[in-house]
Amino acid sequence: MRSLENNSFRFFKDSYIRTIVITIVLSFISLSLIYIDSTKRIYSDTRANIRDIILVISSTVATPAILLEEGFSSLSEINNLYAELDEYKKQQALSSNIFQELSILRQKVEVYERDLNIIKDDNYASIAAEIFTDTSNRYFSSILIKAGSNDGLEEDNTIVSSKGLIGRISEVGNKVSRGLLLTDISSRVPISISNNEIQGILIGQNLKKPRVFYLKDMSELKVGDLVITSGKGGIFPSNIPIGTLASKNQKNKYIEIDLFERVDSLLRVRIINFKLKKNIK
Amino acid sequence: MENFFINNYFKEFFFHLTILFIISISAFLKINNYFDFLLIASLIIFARNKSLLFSYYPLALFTWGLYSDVLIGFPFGYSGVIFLFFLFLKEFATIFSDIENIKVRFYIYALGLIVLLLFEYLAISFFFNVSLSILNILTKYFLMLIIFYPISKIFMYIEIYNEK
Repeated sequence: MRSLENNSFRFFKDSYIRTIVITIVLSFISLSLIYIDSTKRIYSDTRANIRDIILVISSTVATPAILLEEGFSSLSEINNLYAELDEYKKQQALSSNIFQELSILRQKVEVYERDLNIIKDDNYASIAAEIFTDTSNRYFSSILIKAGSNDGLEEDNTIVSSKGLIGRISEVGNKVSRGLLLTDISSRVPISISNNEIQGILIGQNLKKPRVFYLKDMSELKVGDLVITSGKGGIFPSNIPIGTLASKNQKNKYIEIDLFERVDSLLRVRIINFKLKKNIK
Repeated sequence: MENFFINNYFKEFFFHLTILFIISISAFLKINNYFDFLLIASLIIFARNKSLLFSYYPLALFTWGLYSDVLIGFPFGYSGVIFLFFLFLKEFATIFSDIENIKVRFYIYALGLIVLLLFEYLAISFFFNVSLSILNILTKYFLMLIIFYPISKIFMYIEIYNEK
């Protein structure tokens, strides 16, 4: 009996140590994978291919939660409907005036461009695609979009909405792609601040308001200034609106930006093929 | 049928189904920025007593980690290292206490969260050159400490009920 107890104790002890050793080894493998993935991004294709299968499983498993959330959001939407209707009526009255002003401005710009012989670079191929889900979690902010390589999407294509820039495509699958949002900690966008054309880099902070660093001069900037893409680096087209200056931090030399678009209220986005200017189907 | 539900194999299946469910809803459900599903899955791993998979259990968690990374868009290995860290912490906690001693396990869990917080903060500062809001992270972790007791009690009940 005692021998049996000793044997079972040894087995437990061995199994216990074995589990610990395997855990430590796998932890080191995981840390190595993180390091390789964050420095070289070599798994992008593998990840995109596996994700299409995983999405089917996950959306099936999460169905009860999705239905519940949809129910709650429908209730809150009904609640907001009257307020939105009032707002819409006001906007409609304004928009006819704005449209006329825009048409005049557009004609003027066309005349100036023709006189100055400016090379036009703003006619990019684009498609509209539905947002599958917002996968923003912990320190990483991304969305899954129902469009992929079958629709002609490529890595680093620009994602915009009717209000402004949202981010860029970071992974392309056959039917679903991942869009990296401006709030993600790995997002870097070269920007320009209107009027003064002061340039900097917009860096996501995992907060609603990303920050702009590497500004040469902050003294001329003021709250409310328009922030747009500068087009430097060749990933994003120039002059896409991003947001407005929300606050200045003189001590740490950065400014915070109020983004024009909130992704959680969006259903569709537009994807611009700026980099290669190929025709998106 | 009653025996089936308290069967160890069912418990094992149910555990992995719960982990799959939590990972899946983290991609589709947004409650608020402070409700971290990855930490909830980790808490369940910590609160659980033992697995029928024995030495293959870390491998199963590593696989769930990869699943989560692909789905959410984390760097490969990120979720896995968090799951394995809490498994290691659980194994470490068994040296000092059994599953019924929640108080000791709570202190070890809180200590683990602090280590994770420091590690993540330093790693993000180093790799991405971004200073995160400590207040936001602390709120997330504090929320986990609040739900530690109810989740531990549920798992303790499941384990003891099964052994009786």
